Amino acid sequence: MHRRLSIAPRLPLACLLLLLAVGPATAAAAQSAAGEGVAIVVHPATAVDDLTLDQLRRIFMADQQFWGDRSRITLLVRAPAAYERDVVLNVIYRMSEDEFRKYWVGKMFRAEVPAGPKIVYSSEMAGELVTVIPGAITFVPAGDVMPGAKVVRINGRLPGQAGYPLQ
Amino acid sequence: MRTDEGEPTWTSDAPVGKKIARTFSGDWLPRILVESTLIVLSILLALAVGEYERNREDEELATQALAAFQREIRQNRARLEDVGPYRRGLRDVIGRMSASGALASSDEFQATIGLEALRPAFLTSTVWETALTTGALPHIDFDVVNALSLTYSLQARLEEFSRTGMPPLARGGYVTGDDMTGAIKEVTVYLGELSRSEGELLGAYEEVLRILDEASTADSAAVAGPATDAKPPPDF
Repeated sequence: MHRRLSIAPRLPLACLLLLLAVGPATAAAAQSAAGEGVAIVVHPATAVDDLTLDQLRRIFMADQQFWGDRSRITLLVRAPAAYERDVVLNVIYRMSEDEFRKYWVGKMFRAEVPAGPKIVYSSEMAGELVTVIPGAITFVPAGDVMPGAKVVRINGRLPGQAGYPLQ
Repeated sequence: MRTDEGEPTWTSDAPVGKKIARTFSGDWLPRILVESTLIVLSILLALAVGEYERNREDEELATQALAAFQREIRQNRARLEDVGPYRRGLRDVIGRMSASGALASSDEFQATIGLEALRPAFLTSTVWETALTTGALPHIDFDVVNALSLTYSLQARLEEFSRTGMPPLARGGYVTGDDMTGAIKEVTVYLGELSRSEGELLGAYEEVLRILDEASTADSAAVAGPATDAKPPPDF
């Protein structure tokens, strides 16, 4: 009886210790991801190595739907509630989630695009799909870039370099 | 024979020839002939104008319908062209991830792949339905209507397949353990079949667009289709 009673006061303490242990780790992971930035990855056969932020914006806004070799651009966009999506919405689209949805609905209603961007639910999925869909372009946290993936320079800079815009 | 007032009267004893001659004598005959002819001509002209107007309206309706068909089928074609590479890529990736053990349960499948990716392309048939309702089809060439009917039937078949053929895992069903291998196999087979049917429909779109282009060219009224399928010039 005495032992059972003695556990009770320890539970909040254990939770607090757990929070103290996990909290900084999660924060560190988020900080690390934020520090590395978001990488723009294209299909390996796409003949593009470097884009300006304006060119990237035109592609992501579907104002440009074909690459230079006239192959169709397939835009893969991460589903909501992801760090990399927030960065892309802030830096490239300069829109909120609501504005982003309205933007694509409007585009489809005006028949300016055949369909909205393809939604992916994980960085792994985005990384896998971009390697098998010709003309695909996506974005993943720089730390999640798969080996062999083709990362595009933005304004001449790669993720992690000073002045890289997507971080 | 005359009455007391001196007016001529027609009696049965008058000669027939005289009666006829008297009937058709005077200047009213040419006038009535001219007027009758003019009335008949006017009626015929009004009928002809009415007929011309109706034909013109029918032609206009047919031209509008052809343009609308071109627009809708081009949009549907663009949607299929857009989704095709994604669908094939998705099938490959699901197979690879399944083989590596990354999709061990339906929860993992939904978290990684998502269900939205497995939905069929959104295709419309509003122009076909409108043409049926407004009666525009009888004014379009039979071969064109035949090609359109076949195309929209194929489209309806694809929609039916994507509705009824979608496996439980793709509909959000709960699968776990050993059943997962079979469930993923069903999804990849479904995606393969969907891609094949979409390819078939894409071929039908190409063919019907060629027929519509020919019909529009043959029709003197030029039908300017939208440039939705026109590829923009490369920017870089």
